[in-house]
This record gives sequence, C-alpha cells and structure tokens, in this order.
Amino acid sequence: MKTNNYIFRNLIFILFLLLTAITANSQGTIQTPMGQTVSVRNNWDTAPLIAAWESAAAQWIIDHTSDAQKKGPATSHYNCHSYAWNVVEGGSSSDKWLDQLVDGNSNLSKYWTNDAYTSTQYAADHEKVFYGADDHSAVTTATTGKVWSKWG
Amino acid sequence: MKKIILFLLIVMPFFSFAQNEKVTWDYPIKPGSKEWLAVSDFSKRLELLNIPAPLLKKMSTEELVKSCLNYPEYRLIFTRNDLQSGYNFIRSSFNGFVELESRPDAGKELVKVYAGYKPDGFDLNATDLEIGNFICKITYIEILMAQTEILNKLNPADSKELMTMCSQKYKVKKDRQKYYGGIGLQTTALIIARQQSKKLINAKIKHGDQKINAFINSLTFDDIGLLDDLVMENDKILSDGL
Repeated sequence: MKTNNYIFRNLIFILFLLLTAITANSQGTIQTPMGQTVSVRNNWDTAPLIAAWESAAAQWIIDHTSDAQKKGPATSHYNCHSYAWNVVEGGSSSDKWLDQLVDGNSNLSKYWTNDAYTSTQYAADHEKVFYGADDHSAVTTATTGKVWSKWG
Repeated sequence: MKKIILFLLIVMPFFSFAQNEKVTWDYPIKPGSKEWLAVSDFSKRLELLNIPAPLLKKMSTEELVKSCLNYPEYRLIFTRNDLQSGYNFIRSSFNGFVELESRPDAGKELVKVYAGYKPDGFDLNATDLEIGNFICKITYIEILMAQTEILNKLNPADSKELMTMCSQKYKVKKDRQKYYGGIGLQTTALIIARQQSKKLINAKIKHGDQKINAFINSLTFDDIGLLDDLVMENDKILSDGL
C-alpha cells in the first residue's frame, strides 16, 4: 500500500511537471540554437486585418515603385525579429512574435550573447542583421544592400 | 473722415472673409503621382506630404484633425514592432501630428470626430478587405487619441466623455472580436489605460504593474483578459465618479 501511494504521488508529480512544461511552452517560449529560452507572444490578427495589410503593402510598393518582393502572406503570428532569427532557421511561425526586450530585460540579444551567433562588421549571404535603433532584424542575401525581412 | 469710414466699410467684409477662410490641406502631391515619383529619396518623398508652415499655423484644429486622419502614409504604423512605435515613426515624418499634439483643443476636436465612429458600422457581408480597412480607420484615430500629449489636454468633462465612449466602443468591438481580434481591441483599451493609469488599482493587482506598464508603453499583452479588465475597471471608476 505504501509503495502504491509512493508511485501514485510521484506519478502525479511527474504529470504536474510535464503539464507545466507543456503549458510554459504554449504560453510562449522558444529556444536559441544553444538552448537559451526566448519569450514570444501570441498572434492577435484576423482575416479582415490581414486583407487590409496585404492591400496596403501592395499599394505601397506601387506608390513607391519599389523593387521589394513579397515573400509570404501578411501575419501577426511573427515579427521581423522572429522571422530573421527563428522562422528562417526552420522554427515555428505560429504564435511567435519576438520582442527585443521583455519587461526591460534582454530577450532577442540572447541569440548573440554566449550563443551560436557572434557580431561581425561584414555580412555575407544568409546572415542576420540587427538594426538596434530601428528595432528591426533582417536576413542578408547574396546581393549587397538587399535583405529579406518582415514589415512589422 | 467720411472717406475713411467708407473705405473701411468696403474693405472690412473682405478682411473678415480672409480671416475666416477655411485653410485646408488635402495633400496636393499624392503618393504614386508623377511629382512624387520624381523624388527618389524616401524621406524626401515623405516631406512632400508636410503642411507648409504658414498654412499649418492658420489651420483650425478641426481641419488639422481631418488632414492628420487622411495622412496618406498612415499605413506605415503597421510596419513597426507595435503601433506606438509606428505612430512615433509617422510623427517623426509628418509635421501635422506634431502641430496637432501642441494644440490645446486637439483632444476635444478628436473626441467630436471619434463620437461618429461606430465600430459595428460595417456590413457583415462586406469583403475582408472592406472590413479590414474599416477597422484600420478606427485604429488610426484611436492611436492618435492615445497620445499622452493629447490626453493630457482634455478637461475633466471631455475626459469623462471619452472614457465613457471608449468603454462603449470596446464592448461593441468585443461582440465582433472575430473581426477586430486583439489588434483591433487594443487601441481602445490603450486610451483607457493611459488616461486612467493612476486609478487602475485592481488591474495592477491582478496583472502586476509591469504588465500594465508594458501595455501602456508598447501595447504588449499576452491575454485579451487584460484589455477586458482595463475596460471593466474604467466602468467602475466612471460609476463611482472617481
């Protein structure tokens, strides 16, 4: 009987731990390549908003005769930081809006702080660029001056 | 003497007309136009939308509000990490917003216009694009009204009217959350959060100061319940007459 109780209690504890881990993950964290935890936020868009953003972006390209190329549909599932540092590397793109800071603390910079990325002055193809002053991230291409990034 | 009086009688009506002339700004150079495309630099193009200084000072606040709400590059607010950063960007590009924020009656004029915005005023059979554009227009006026420079200039009566209006509009939006989503709801709650920030005791206890401040500063939220709680507390503040 004592043994059964012991197993049952431990089973409950293990289930609790598993549930906590699953809940924590669904509430918004991803891992850097070296396993640091980065916070991400949920998506709050709707079909009408997506349609409006798509239209505004297309019109903007016309109005500015811009050579920007559309790479994917509008979404608020992820932002520029998440696109460059997470999605492009094969990470999930669902509910992964990644803020530079969380509660005033470093969040995005974990990717290049004791992790897989180091700072460099020269960016070759398929490297990450972080524009600190503009709170923006992008991925370089083989063409100098051209990057892949997400608006918003 | 008679000649002077006669002269004044003839000239005065013209002078009054000149004084009362409505100064408007409808962006004579529009994005995509020939004149617009003749300028290649992006920031210089945005300067083409600026209101010339002599006109800007003569414009009534009512007209200035109209021009700001029709700013052709308002769409750029969605290209930043959050809507406040987006607003900061367009404010740094367009002198109309800077001028409006400095006007003592900006809030009052915006409240008048905002009163006419009906969040359920779209046809449920309309296309996603039509509904989305409708929602964006509400977002534009709300993010403008949420600026503390504008909110701070409201007198207590106008402030109360705005808070009542925001609660009502939020609830109408909430009933249509399928269309508005958190993005469409957040700006209404933001006006409330910024204007009532010192009185939001229950929301701060429930969600913590940090989460409320993160929402106030950069519209960060994990849970729509936070927005609902802000509106609920606003209702209580209004009913308690605080």
